[in-house]
Amino acid sequence: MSTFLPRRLLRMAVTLWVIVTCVFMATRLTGNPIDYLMPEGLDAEGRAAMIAYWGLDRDPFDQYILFWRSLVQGEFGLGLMERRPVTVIFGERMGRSLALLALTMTATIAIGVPLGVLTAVWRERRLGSWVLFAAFLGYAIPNFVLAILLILLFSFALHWLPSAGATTAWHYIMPTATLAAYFVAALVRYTRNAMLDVLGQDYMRTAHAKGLSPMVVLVRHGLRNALIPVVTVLGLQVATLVSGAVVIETVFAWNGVGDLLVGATLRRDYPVLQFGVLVVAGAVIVVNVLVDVAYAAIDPRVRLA
Amino acid sequence: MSDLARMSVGVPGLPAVPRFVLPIWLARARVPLIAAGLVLALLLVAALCAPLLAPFDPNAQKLLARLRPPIGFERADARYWLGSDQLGRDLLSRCLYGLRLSLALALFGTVLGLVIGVTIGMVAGLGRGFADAALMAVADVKLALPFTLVALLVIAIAGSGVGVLVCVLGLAYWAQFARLVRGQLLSLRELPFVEAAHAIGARPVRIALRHMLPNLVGPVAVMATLTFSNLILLESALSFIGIGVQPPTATLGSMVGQGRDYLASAPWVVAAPAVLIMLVSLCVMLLGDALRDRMDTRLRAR
Repeated sequence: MSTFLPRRLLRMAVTLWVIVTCVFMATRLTGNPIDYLMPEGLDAEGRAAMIAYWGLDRDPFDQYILFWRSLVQGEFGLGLMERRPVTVIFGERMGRSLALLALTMTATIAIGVPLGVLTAVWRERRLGSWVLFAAFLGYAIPNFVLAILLILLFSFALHWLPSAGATTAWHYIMPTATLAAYFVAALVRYTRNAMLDVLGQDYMRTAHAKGLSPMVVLVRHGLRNALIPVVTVLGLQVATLVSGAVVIETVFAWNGVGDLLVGATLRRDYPVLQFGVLVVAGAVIVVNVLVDVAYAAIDPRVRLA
Repeated sequence: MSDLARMSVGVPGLPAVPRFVLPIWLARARVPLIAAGLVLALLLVAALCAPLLAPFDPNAQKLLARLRPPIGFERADARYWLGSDQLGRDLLSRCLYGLRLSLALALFGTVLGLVIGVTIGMVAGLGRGFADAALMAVADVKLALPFTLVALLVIAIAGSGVGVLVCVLGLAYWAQFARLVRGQLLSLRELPFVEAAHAIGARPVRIALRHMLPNLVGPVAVMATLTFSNLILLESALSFIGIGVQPPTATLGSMVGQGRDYLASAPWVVAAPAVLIMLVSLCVMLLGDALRDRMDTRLRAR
């Protein structure tokens, strides 16, 4: 453990530095930043004030220092559309997005792991192969198409569920289902593979031979070992999950961070977009590190390698 | 992190892109595979011949014929086989042209990503040392980020033209290609035939191009198929949320995105392109999986 954690943290720091620098270069050094960081129809005086605020008239190195300073102080200026501090705009929407992600993650694990185990145990049965087939469909159908199909069925044909917004518990069902479909499918597959590897091990036969009940053998000796690789894969999927959430939030008018960023792109609202990319990317990187550390804590082979 | 992934996701060398385990009866059966191939071939021909097949100009509006349902439904207009959209454009023509553009974008994106990724992978794998460490660090950053964020940033700055979109799609999978190529090179370098080439005095460039590159073709081809199907989905998702191909140009994703507002009254506007996206995605994925099984002898034994 002695070198694993410092090394991992150093890599995280480098990654974050690369991201901040890339965002800085993308927004400042390509073309004339004054034109696209400014709202349209700004008079000369306001323009000069904005230039002074962002330090856009200074040389690139000073701008870079300023950029870091504003980052550390949490000062990101005003959104061009809403004319409010971007930190406030994000603060209002962050909760809804995190709730969607957390719910999706929970549903994915609660459904994906048991199904993965079942398809491994039932590999000779028809039902197991139907579950796999359903997982294949969930994997191959793009999430926004699935969302549209569900809206057609449950909102317009049956009138059971609302098609937009995030106010009641009912609103969470379809976004979570569409977002989770892909990840459940992936998790079923990973869990199944890991279980199949474990089921053939000698210690499983030993556990059976000493008279443990099949359920105990399967869960305590099988699943616990099979889950180790599954945890890593789950960690790797966080970035994909966030990407998917951007699309799904747009479909269901979620009013979260994802559709905010899409809107900011369409309206060229750079302060919002720049802040959003930094915050979301930073969060994903940190989560990845946490997963790695958790993984190393579970499995001694990793930190010794 | 990525090392852990390779360790746990089984097959060394092949990327950590999930390989799907199909039910045995489906994986063994030739019929679904042949069907997928035929459907895909048919769609490819339809896309290539879009200008010949399309009954109308895909962007020609006719306000008197708005939101007509497909033939066979009430109020249908016999000239519009799949119906018409909110601006009175023929859906069949738009689907054909949209399919054509979606496939073309995914193809160019795949080629671009392949060229960038293979080049970087070769530089990293052959150069080793600092170049390797730096390039792989950048690849790791790329893999750790949600790509949609990168796409949003690039499109916000560069605008949303078709050329920009190809660049965005090309950026989406370069790191996977680079990692694959680098990994393959590292293991190839230890093999006897490379040592033999060294021994007879072949220069490094010759060894790289004549002895190692041909061995990369298989894995890179498999990766390219997977990338192609993923890029079809990525492009359609970007166009769907409105930051990809801009109206009035049709791609399958933008047709679904814009038809969304008429979902309640005119579901066919969305249904036709949505079904096409699903068909293409399913077929390419089935074929890509079969190709991977064929290429990878280690999997065949299972």
